[in-house]
Amino acid sequence: MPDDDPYNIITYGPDGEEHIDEAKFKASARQIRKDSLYLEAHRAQWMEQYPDMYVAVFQEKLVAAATTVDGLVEQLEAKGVPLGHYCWRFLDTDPMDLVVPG
Amino acid sequence: MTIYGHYKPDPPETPSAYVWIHVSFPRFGVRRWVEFLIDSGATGVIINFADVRPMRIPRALLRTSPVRISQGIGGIQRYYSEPGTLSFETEPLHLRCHLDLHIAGDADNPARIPSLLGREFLNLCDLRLNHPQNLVALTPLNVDAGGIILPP
Repeated sequence: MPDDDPYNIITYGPDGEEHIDEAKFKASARQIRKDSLYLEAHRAQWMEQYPDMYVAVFQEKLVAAATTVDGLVEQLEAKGVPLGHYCWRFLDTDPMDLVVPG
Repeated sequence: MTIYGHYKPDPPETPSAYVWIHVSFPRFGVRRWVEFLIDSGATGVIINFADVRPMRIPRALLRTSPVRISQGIGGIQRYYSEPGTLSFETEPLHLRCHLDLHIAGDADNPARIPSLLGREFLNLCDLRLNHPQNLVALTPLNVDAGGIILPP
């Protein structure tokens, strides 16, 4: 029976080996890149609306905003967003210096 | 075959190089697209809490993985070490790499920090970065006929 779930990229064989559906994989990769660009394009605007919050984008829409990772995931689950296929960003108003002092 | 990434203004004055990778853990039966920061300062490939949490890995199962210490931009952290597969969208076919990945299992892990693509993977590749040309390119040094990235 064909699997029509576009996000079910990997299936497992009887030996536990992973099998990737190449067409779904490429389509999914294209979508996640689009979502990432969409997030970057709206980042400045959302920084004002959702400061110091996690935001998530799926299919070029803002689908969740929360102060914690758990809160974000709960919103996404409630909306039926596939949890392996969204992109997120913490809209940090005080970005950390990523260099660890020596 | 070359894996291409991208730059993000993160922070705006000094953009950082990232790459999207599909991560799966066969033992847990979970998978997710993860946007990794390319970080040659990190020892391994680290999946941070904000990317781990949506995988819904049962805590009891995660605790059966060995604990490792990893050092990166966030300092020294405890991680669970678990065999995983990194899959890359490349032409003409996707590439894969089997590695022990480091999983942040605790909420007190610095979730704001992105997941990190460290030396255990970067050392398998020729890495080219050119911000003015927006070029982030990783070319594996040794790939078998089935698209599996191997040690050089």
